[in-house]
Formats: sequence, C-alpha cells, structure tokens
Amino acid sequence: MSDFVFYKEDVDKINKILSYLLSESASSYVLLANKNGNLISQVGFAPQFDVTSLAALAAGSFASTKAIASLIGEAEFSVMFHQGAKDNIHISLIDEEVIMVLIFDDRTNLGMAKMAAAHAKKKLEPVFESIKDNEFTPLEDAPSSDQEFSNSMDRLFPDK
Amino acid sequence: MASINYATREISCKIVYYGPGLSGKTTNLQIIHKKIPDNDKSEMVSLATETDRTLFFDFLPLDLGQIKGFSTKFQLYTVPGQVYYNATRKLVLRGVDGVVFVADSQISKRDENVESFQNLEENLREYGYSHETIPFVLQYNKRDLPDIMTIPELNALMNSYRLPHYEAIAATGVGVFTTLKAIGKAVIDKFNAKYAGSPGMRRVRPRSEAAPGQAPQAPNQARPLTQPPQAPQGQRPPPPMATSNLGNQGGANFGPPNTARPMAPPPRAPMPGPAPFGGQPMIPQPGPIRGPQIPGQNPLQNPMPMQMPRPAGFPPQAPPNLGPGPNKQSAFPMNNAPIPGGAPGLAPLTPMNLDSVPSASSPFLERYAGTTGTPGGHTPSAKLPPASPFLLDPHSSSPRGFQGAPPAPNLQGFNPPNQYAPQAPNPVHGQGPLSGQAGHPGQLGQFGHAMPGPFTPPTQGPGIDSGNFPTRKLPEESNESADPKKGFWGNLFGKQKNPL
Repeated sequence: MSDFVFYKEDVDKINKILSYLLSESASSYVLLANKNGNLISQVGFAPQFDVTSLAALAAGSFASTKAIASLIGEAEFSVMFHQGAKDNIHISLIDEEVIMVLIFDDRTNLGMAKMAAAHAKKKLEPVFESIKDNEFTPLEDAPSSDQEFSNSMDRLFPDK
Repeated sequence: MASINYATREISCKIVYYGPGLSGKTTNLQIIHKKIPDNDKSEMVSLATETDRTLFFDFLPLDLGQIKGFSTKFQLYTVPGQVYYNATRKLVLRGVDGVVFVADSQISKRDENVESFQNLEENLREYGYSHETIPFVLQYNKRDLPDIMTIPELNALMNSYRLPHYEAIAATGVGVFTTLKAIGKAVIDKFNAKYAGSPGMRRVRPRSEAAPGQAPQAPNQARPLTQPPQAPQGQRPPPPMATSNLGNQGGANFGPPNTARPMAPPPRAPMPGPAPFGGQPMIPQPGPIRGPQIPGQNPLQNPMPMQMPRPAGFPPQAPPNLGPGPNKQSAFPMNNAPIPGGAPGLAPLTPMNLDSVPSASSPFLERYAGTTGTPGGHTPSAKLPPASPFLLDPHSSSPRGFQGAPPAPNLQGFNPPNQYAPQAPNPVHGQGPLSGQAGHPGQLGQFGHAMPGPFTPPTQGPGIDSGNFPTRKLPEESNESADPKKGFWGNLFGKQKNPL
C-alpha cells in the first residue's frame, strides 16, 4: 500500500469536479477521504462540524459496512446512505481507496444526489488513477525533521 | 500509508494504539487531548458503549506543525481491546503508519497481553505489515499498581523483537507523551528514510501532454502564483504549492488566500485536448463561506468573506436554460462553462425545473418524448425552446430507458391514465399522436417509447383514441417481454397491465 501524493493540479481537478457535483445535485457539502480516514479534499458550504472527524468516521463506517457485506457474500457495498431529519449523507466508493461523502438536505433529493455522485465518480476515477503514479519530493528548503518535530512536540506539550 | 497533499502542504499519518482490553489505550488519547493547548485542540471522537468501553475506535487528530515544509498531522486511533472485536481492530489497522502497543503490567493480565500482541501481529500480517516495516513501540502501562510484572519480565514476555519500550501511568499522564514522541519521531524518521534522496532526483509522473520545452502552466489561472527562485539547471522544480490551506481542518483550498508562501511553477502541464472543465472553471470558494462559484466573481480577488446565503427554492443556483435555439450541449459536461442569466446551452446542470418548461405537457413526458433515439440524436426544433439541459443529455447516466431506441409497441388507443397524462388536448382521433412531431417536446401524446426512433413519425400505432379508453393490448397480446432494447421505461410501461 503506497502513500497518497496529491499535487496541486490533482487537487484542482478534484475540486472542480466536486464543485460541479454540488451544483448538479444542489447539495451543501462534499468531501473526499481515503479509506484510512485521511481527508483529501472538500468543497461546500462552511461546515459546522469537524471535517477531520467526519472523514475518519465515514471511513470507519464504510469499513464496517464492508465487513457486513462480506458476511452476506458481497465484496463491498459501493454506496451508503444515511437519512436524517433534515440533512442526509450519501457515501459512495470512488476508487478502491477513496470514498466520497455528500451531504444534502431537503432542498434536493436522494435521486439527484445519487445521480450526481455517479457522474462525479466517473470523472474522478481517472484523476485518482493518475495520482497513483505520483511520488513525494521533499521541499528543498525543508528544515531538519528532527528539529522540527522536537519543536512541535515541545510547543504542544511544553511541560513534558 | 501516509497521505501527502501538496496543495495543502499536509502530510497525514495514522498511529494506532493497540492492546488488550482496559490496558489504557483510550486513557492515553484522553490525556493527550487534555494536554493539547486549546488553540491546537481538535475534538476527540469516541465510539464507545454506554459503559465507556471502546466499541469501534477513538480518534484524535493531532497537528504537529511544520515538518519538512509540510504541515504534519497525526491521527491517533485506538482499537477495542476485547477479544471478540477483532474484526473492528483489523479495520482500524488499515493504512496504519505507526503502532503503539499498550500493555497492562499487571500479572493477572499476562495472558491477555500475549494474546493481544499475537493478534496484532496477525492483523498486521494480513495487511502486509510487520514490526520491521512500520514503526512500533511498546508502552508498559499501569506501573503504579502493586501487583505488576517487572520490565525484564515484560520484555521477555512480548518484546522478543527488542522494540522500544516505555513505562507509563496513563491515568496520570506519566509516560504518555514520551511514548507519543517516540512513535511520532519513529514515523517521521521512517517517512524520511522512505523518501530519502536528493530533492528533484525522484521521478515524477511525466506529462506526455506537455510540449517539450514548453513552460508548464497552471490549469487554474485564477490562482495568483508567485514565482520562486528558479531551480538550478537540470534540477526538476519542486511540485507546486497551493496558496491556501485549511488550517486545522486539514482539507483543501478553502483557507484564506493570502497564506503567502512562495510557489514553485507547476511542473506539469494542463490536461491535453479540450479543456476538461471549460474556460471558466468552477473554483471552490475560499474563505469561510464556501459554496459553488458565483459567476462573474473571482473569489481570489474578493478576499472578504462573502455572505452567500443558501439559495432559496429548487433548484438553488443553476439558472434555467430557456434560451432559444437548439441546445446540443450536454447537460453534464464539465466543459460547459456556467454563464449567468440562463444563456442558452451553457447553463450548468440544474435539477429538473418544472417552471422552466413552458410546454403544457409534463416535463417528464417531454423528456422521454425527445430522447427516444440513439444517444446524441436529439435535435429539438428551432421553434421550440429547449428543455432543461437535464433533459437533453443522453450520455449521462439517466434512467435506464433513456438510452436506446425501443421499438414501437402496439399502442392502440392507449391513453396514459395517470398524472403523467398531458394537459394539452388529445390529437384528433384516428391520427397518429405524434404525426410529424415525433420527439417534439410539447406534443407528446404517448410515452416516449412508443416512437420508433428519433424525430421520425411513428410507423405504427393508430394513435390515441380518447373515446375508447383504454384499449391497449395486454402484454401477452403485444408480446411484450422484458426487452433490454426497450430500456427501463419501455419495459416499465410496456408491462403495465390494463388498469381496468
């Protein structure tokens, strides 16, 4: 399992697709995360929640449904939908390593969300396929990791 | 499996606290969360039972600041320690970058420690990991309790690999940060070792579309880019950087646009061929108010947060596409640049807007009246206003019957007896319902699947006989079975039984 490396162009492409997805589905917010729970990108109205936690929980939820799927003989569920009183969440599998979380309310409906998510998936698949070839290159002006890490830890936990 | 985002200059790593039940994994995270300064504190998520036993995992994001020029974020997870939650533990271990095994030092927990450690090794092995491939530290917890094993005993019990080990009293915070520092540093060192090498020497995916010698150009010209000092000759410039970040949120390009950092010229050229997303790309809004692009406004030139209320009504934002003339634009392509005011053929996709359809007929019927042919075959009459772009995209994944040309079933006098019936007067009895107007959005008298092809008059079917309702043949008479060529709607209505 290799690392995910996103260049700016990749993120730009992703964000354009996600923006269009929001417009298409009249949804309020969408994020992409990998199955490990790392947030990749997000587009939408300012969320009132912790998006990092949302990404982690959505990945966890998706992972648990995969285990459920295996129990009934399915390899994986590609779509999850959680209906709330006002807001709903549509989680779909974009790539073998990436999930998309689409949040929408009663201004639109599940059908529109599913259709737009399917369109976005088609557009995102080649992007993520190309991302797999990306490699990480450290910055030339990057300081020493040891020093930076120690400073960060000391800043966070000064008395320890 | 770290996630490295050049746009937001972030590296995300996943550290899992593993161990037997009640060994103090969640307590470790709670102490860390408690000690983090408020400015850097994120919410800790615990999926626990009513008795505060971890059910799925605990999750604590930790921003360690800049490392190697990147904002480094650790995501700390715990697993449920109970034996019967192994499936959950396995899920949490996915993509782990570092492991802390929290052992209970009590003598009575000896077997549980060994069992949990063996379980950890098994689960790691399933993902192709081992103590040799990922950073791994041990924490001997509960050192303040009376009946505990000594450190040599614990090492002999579970540290045959001579892993780094630390004593701790997690409840009071002793050893918690030492362990965190150790695993954090091990993860960073591993990361550095993995990507060791001279900057610029590593190969990056070549862009075959980039012309040789051509200066790479950022696909998004709306973003102000500052030119950094040129890289030495023969050295590949570093990947491009974004001008914005999300701060603690860890996401992409919504932060304030003025988080100035010199940006390198992007080494990669735009996508080949036609611009994939058109000349006016939709740019996510920077700043605290986020939402789809407002045409005509460059958000980067308006750094002040825009009060962008949620659009009222449905659809909320996309202008209706009511312009005159044929609309051959696809409803869903990204290369349809949005133009305010509902310019013909350029509106981004809008949900089906009933008000935007001037015809007296149901837009539902119009949609399927005009798209019975092969994909792309719809050329509405210039006299008629085009329907919503939503209605005109046969390439999209619309309802299944949307594509393909179903054969014309025998629809003698069948009048749709439901809410989809057109409001316009029925054609004259005896005439074809769509004579000369097949595919006409406003003249539909039958369901779309009745037409043999795009915009050709039906060759069979006598038409609507409103006085003989309904006289449509039953499925067995019309020999209608599930025919994939008919598509979803063709089969649906073709199979509809006589309501009487």
